[in-house]
Amino acid sequence: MMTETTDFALNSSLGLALVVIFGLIWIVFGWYLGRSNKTHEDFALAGRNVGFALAAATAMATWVTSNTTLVAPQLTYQFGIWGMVGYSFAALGLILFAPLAARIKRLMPNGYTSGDFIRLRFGQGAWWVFIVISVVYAFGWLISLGMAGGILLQALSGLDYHIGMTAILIICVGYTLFGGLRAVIATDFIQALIIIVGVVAIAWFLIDTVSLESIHGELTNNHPKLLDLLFPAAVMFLFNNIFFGLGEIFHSNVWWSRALAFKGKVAFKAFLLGGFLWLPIPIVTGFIALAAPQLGIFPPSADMVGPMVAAEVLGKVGAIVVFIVVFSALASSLDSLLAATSDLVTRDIYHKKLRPAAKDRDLFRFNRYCIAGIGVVTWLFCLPQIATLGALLNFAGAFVASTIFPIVLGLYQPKLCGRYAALAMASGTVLGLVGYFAIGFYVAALTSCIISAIVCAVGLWRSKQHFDWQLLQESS
Amino acid sequence: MPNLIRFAVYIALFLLITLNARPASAYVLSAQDELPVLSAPSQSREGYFVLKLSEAPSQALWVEYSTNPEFTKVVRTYPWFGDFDRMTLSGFSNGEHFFRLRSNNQPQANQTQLSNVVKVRVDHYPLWQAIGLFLVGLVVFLFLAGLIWTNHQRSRNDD
Repeated sequence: MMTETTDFALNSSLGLALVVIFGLIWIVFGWYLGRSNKTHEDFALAGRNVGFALAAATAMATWVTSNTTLVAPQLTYQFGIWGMVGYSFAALGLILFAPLAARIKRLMPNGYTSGDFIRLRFGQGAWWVFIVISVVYAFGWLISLGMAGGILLQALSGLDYHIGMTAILIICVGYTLFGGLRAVIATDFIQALIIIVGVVAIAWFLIDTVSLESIHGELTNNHPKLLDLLFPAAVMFLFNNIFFGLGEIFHSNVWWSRALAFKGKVAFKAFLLGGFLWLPIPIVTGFIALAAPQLGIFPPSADMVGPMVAAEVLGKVGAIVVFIVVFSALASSLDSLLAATSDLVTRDIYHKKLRPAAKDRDLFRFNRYCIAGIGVVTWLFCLPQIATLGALLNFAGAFVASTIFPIVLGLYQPKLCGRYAALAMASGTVLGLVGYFAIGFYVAALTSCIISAIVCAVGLWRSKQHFDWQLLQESS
Repeated sequence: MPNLIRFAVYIALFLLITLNARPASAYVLSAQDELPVLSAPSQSREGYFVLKLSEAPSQALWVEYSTNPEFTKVVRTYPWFGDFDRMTLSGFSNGEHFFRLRSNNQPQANQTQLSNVVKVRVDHYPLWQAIGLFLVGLVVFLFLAGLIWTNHQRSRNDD
């Protein structure tokens, strides 16, 4: 009988070996770094003493995630030039967060989480709305990262999706459990170096192997919309993506915990530099997808196109490079999100609501249980591969974009009260979801942000309160 | 052995067990089975869509693309990737696009099998709608950036 073997870049055994080797390296490294964690503050905020180099690297590396390594090529494959360029504008999230981070550090030098700020600034009602948004977003992102691990291994080696997904979750839970934020930031630094070198190498080999002229010719003849700057869905997607990115960063405890962990006045410069370093990365990763038609690669799912093209061009060595780069990118985000979400649950729910008298040792222990628990819940949600990465992430856009104006105005304007902040977040989310289902994912975040801004404007106009900033100085 | 090291060893062992729970081999295809049924969405507003098979392929497949249902001229042929049951295509302009599966990469070969034909109508959003949303987004973004910048300057001066 004539048979033909599927042309995966790596064989399954090599894929498995890479996962095991990487998993062990990161877990042992996390354990090594975690030895100096003596208090819950050490574990959750790395002793509030992170210097500039590590701060800028962790800002960049955390933002380089499945979004950049898998979704940027996906959106380029779907939206062409605008998908690539538009995706790089997500750097604006980091850049505009730089002044906010400086303000956060100034207003709440002893703060712990973004939930702390919302509770103290806007009260319980707004806090509940915010927690719902944060949890939906955190799990949306965690699930997308777990899924990305599975998709990566499946695209490169043909291994079952569930194996890669399970492996990356175990590895990241493992080293975050041992090392806390200190391990997360240190691994981010190494992962940032790997990502930059790897992405540049892949793009270099790609241009060297497949000429720009041939890529352009193939797209012009057979996929003309990908080169069209007036591609309607892509034009609609552009600002939606920007507001999604802003919402993600402005509200998420991933970024607040970093702003609070950075030493002195480092936060502003670190986020600014991190943003500018991040800006070109989606251009490079997205460009890879434009070569797919020329190479005869038409992926099963659009989010698999990046690794498939890189592996095709670079062969087995290239596939190993792709694996290392994407795995690093996924891990650098997954560990951050695990740490930040467990901090939020430990501080805002366990400590503030359930056990106010809990000692530092109790918080330390609960935080670790929480990391393991979040890992298990994420794994369960990842089991059915429910959507593409892009669709899953953009669903969360309706939620997070509603927090942009309440956060910004809450940090600077003493007149905005909690009732209007809560209403802005709730109504923005609901109408953003209406836009998501009625029109498409490319309007969800934009709609949500605009509705939230209008409610905040009404709130400022009608407000008679003047918030006392000293009320943010809560003792831990 | 300290608890943390023991825990690390347990995690590593669990990882190994999990990874070996499934067969570690690439998929093998044969060239003698019936073609699966091809399906596709009837309409796309974005120029990209997913072609699906009724079952995972058991042989190497190609997708033929034409702009007419009789396939008098095959515009492009797409190789199906691996044993996946779907393929994503993108970058199509407005119009009707037709696809079918072929079992052999040599169209004139005697044993070539062809599948059912599916039609996808691509109808992009009107440009005025896209530009309108773009401009709304631009205005809100500039307002937000200005708000952050002026408040940042003011708070620095206050310090």
